[in-house]
Amino acid sequence: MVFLTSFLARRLPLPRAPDKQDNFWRKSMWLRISSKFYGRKRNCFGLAIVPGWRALRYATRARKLKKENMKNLWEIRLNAACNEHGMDYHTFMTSLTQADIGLNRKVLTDLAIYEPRTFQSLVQFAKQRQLEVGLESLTIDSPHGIFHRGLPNKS
Amino acid sequence: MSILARSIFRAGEAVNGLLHLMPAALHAGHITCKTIVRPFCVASCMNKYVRPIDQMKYKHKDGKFQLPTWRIDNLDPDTTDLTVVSPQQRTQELTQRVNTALENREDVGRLFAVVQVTGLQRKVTTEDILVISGTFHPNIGDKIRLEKVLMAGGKNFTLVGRPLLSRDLVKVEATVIEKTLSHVKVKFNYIRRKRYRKFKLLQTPNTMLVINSIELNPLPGS
Repeated sequence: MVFLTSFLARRLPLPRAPDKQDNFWRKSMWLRISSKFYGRKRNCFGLAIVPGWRALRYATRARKLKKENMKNLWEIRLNAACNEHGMDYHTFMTSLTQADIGLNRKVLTDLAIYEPRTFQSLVQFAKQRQLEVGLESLTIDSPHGIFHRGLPNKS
Repeated sequence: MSILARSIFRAGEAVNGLLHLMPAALHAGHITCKTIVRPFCVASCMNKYVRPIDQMKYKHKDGKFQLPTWRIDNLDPDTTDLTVVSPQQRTQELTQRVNTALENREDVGRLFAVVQVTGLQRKVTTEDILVISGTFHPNIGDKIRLEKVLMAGGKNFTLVGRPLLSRDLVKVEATVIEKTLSHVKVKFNYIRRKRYRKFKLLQTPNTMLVINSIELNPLPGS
């Protein structure tokens, strides 16, 4: 039986003494990781291994950091979207949570971008609610001549 | 803007007219929002947004409330609309308008919904493909109904749940089309000079869902 493919042309681990194993595969793995590095780090194993460790450590940390960065990005976008309608971000979010609307920041930014009229109506709702249950109304008697409209105070 | 606008909420013209007057705006600067009164404020106010809770401190400083008192007698009945519509009446009007839009299918357009699957919220329309990472028990070909619908909307209306819309109102159906593994993730960490090194390759199971249909039933109570 003859194998016509180049499958067996690859390098195989050679039999050695148990304390001296073939380092080729271990080295080739780290060199594969460092294949896009700059300078001698790319090809020299002794220089490549420490930056390779560092790169993998960054990669593991980045998976957690990406989530935090996305949260910050959503907050920034939501802040801008709220300011566009003359609304503060924090009052917007608090009024939504007080009204038991459980939309998260990611979905709200998606709405602000792709469903702007829906987002505008949410901001209008928040404004209305802020008027109805303002912080001032907790301590001060409401002044004369108020017209309550829209959604009622839930609390 | 809050107190001023609350006291004469219906009199839009009156508020706008007042804000153009500088002394009135200066006085209102302590209780209005920064965007309107900013040009008239002193430099310390320019960069700082005064929160309502801070405003309360200013007011308590002298032990007296310095609030503008607006009386209904001051409003001009010819220019302001003083008719009061009850909330129940208003919701009834809205439900009727939504129901008429639902009857004429052309007006609704392509419906969208915000669903929550495995703790993540996504905005979906029909023929969308969702990728769900992590354990998800339905198998390939299973038809499932996504029950946690936070929001559903069409061309001219949006229904918002507090927090969820009822099962009778919205129906979002999906099919499982694929179950695969994600790309290989490396989990590697070491502490130098301490002989600590961990190396692990991870793959999370991914499930693909296709949204088959989003159906809206007419609202009750119209």
